[in-house]
Amino acid sequence: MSLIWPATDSDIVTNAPKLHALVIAVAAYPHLNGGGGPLALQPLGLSQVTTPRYTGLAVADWLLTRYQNAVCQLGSVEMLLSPNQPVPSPNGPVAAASATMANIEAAFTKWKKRCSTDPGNIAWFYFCGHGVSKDAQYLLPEDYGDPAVFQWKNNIDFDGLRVGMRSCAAQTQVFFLDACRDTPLELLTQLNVIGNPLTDASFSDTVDCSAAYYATTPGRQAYGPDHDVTYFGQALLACLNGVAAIKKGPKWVVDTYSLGNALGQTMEQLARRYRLPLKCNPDPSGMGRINEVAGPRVIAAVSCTSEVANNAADITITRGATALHSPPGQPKPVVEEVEAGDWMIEVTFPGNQFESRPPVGYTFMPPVFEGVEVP
Amino acid sequence: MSGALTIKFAPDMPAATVEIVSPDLEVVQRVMLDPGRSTSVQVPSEASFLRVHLPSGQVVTLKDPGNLTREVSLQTIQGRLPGSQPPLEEELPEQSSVSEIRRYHRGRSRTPTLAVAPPMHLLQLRAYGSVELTGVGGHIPGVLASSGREAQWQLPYNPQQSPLALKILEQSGTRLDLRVPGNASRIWARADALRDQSAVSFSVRIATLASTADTIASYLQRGDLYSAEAMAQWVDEAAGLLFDKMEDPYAAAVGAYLLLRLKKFDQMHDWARNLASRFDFLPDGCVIWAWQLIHHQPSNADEIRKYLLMAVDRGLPVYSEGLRLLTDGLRLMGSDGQAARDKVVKSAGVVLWSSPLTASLAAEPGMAPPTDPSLHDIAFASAA
Repeated sequence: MSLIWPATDSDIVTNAPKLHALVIAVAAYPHLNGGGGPLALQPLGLSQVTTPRYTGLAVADWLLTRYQNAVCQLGSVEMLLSPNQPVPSPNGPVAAASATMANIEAAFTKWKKRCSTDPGNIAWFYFCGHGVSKDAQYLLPEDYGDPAVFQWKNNIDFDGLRVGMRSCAAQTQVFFLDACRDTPLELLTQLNVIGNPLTDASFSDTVDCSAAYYATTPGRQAYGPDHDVTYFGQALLACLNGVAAIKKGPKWVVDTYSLGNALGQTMEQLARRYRLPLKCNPDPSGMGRINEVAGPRVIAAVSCTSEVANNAADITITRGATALHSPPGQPKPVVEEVEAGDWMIEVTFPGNQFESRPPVGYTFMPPVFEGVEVP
Repeated sequence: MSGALTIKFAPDMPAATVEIVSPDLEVVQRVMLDPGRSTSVQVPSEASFLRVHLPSGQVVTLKDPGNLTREVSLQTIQGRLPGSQPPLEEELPEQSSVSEIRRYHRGRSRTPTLAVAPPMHLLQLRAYGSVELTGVGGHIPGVLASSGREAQWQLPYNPQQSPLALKILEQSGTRLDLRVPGNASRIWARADALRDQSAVSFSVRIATLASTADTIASYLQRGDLYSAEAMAQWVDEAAGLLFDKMEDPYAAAVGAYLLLRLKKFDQMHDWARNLASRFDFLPDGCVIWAWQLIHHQPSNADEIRKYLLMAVDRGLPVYSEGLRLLTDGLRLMGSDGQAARDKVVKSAGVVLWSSPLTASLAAEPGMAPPTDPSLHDIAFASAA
């Protein structure tokens, strides 16, 4: 079973525009290094990962509790999770099926059919787990590398999937790939890498908006803190909650263009904060409205202009009663998600290494505020 | 108090998208400006401010309440950017970070070639690898700079020539093949040991004389259609130059890719067909025309197939946007397109999708399989 919400297939509304989500999170790979099953003939240097189970649950929770779109409300959430564990839902915990190739194929078919019921639907696809990149982006299900079958039998060809989704009637399609886009060295010399695109399309199939957001540029490991949500997942949820918001008429909305711009900038700031080569690669085509928020949020990234000054600086960022404080010795830049608007920044040097300066006012506007120019 | 706000870009500015923002943070308008150009926008308050979306991805906020005439120069921008800006002749330390290398490239964009060494065909980037540039006439000589870590080429203006090919043979045994547009005016490629990781960074920057097209390509590379959207105005205004005279088919291809992305098909007329028929060295023209047909005349399958297959015969597209559209188009052909797709896949090898230009990695024949990781950073040059 993979339907998390609503309770049954018959409860799904298909006669009005809705968002239908398919969330796949794979943290257990029995045929990769450290797994419990027979090792793949080509494990590609990959092993078990901890972040997808946390990230998949966080994304499902966001959809169930935070997603807002007046013209396209939440219609369904389908989820596959490895290792298998109960997923919280408004109807109580639901046991999600594991993310094997067969289960993914079955869930994908149901999801696509559901998405096709109304052109106003939003098709939402989120994958968190291992991926590899060669001529195309491939996504690895739980049973990738089962030595009992052809090495690439259990492998998803995401580029083919995205093109194939043109045959789905939903005219807004968003894909989030929270997976490595690494090219393991063994892949450089392999000729017969293939994957299953799960669907196909022809010239006559069209889609107004197809937007894909990749966690990291090819050739780099996708990063995440152990036993927590991936950095891409953190950045995405922050953006959806208002960091990517722009004002359209009376509403603050997140659309496919603003999300691409904000996600890239947010990941840059996380890269600075954690000193990791984090990147994301947004690939939107066509405009689609995703989420509506109460107000704009900002990733504030505040530091001095040199490492020496950063180490000595005492930085305080205030707005009304809200204050963020980073004393000397704490990591800089200070990277925090805050409310948009006017803030004061005070930089002092208690050790008198540099000249302190009085508080200065700045306007923080989505998606990112990056400052300050002292010393 | 409302009024007309005039914004002018100084001649030293790169083309960029500017947001005009009201004090309540509503974006009043987004406009595109290129060097020396100005525009006027009606604003609800004199306290409205500007946000400049630079080609490098940085965003600069410019506030000057009460002033309804704003001139934006590179100097003003640099003063507002966080982090010190690189001096013009800055040298990188022996081991650098990715952000230091990127900052260095921005500084390099503003400076002419510094090297004085004699030109060579094969340039050795210390022990990290070697690099060469070839055109239809054979090898193009370049010079070494930056203590042997950088190779540079200064090229004559010849936008109607065939694409060039840059090849980096890494010491690890990996070969990087990069398609370079024929309108390139400067190219520099460098190898740097990374401080935070045991890896070597290979970075390449390309500048053309069509700097606005370079800005568009930079926005597209980052998937920043929010900023790129305003540039459609430039494509409209430059249509005569870009598509009628077609003096620079590469800049025309970039403009057309933007319109395809934004799905502004009506603005494309039949330019892409001209691009395909007049420049047989540029597979991108065929790809763009095929996709325009897919959107506008999907029933014209024979014509779509013809142009997709013609693109394959002409070689890999120069721009990775074109490679993506070509492989997607061949997938839509179903089994008919499989042989052609296999040919493209074999030719492309491992594709660096983060590059704006078609770039692929392969194991160099006769060498042991690569063992060391390397990072690749390919972009259009931008001074800011």
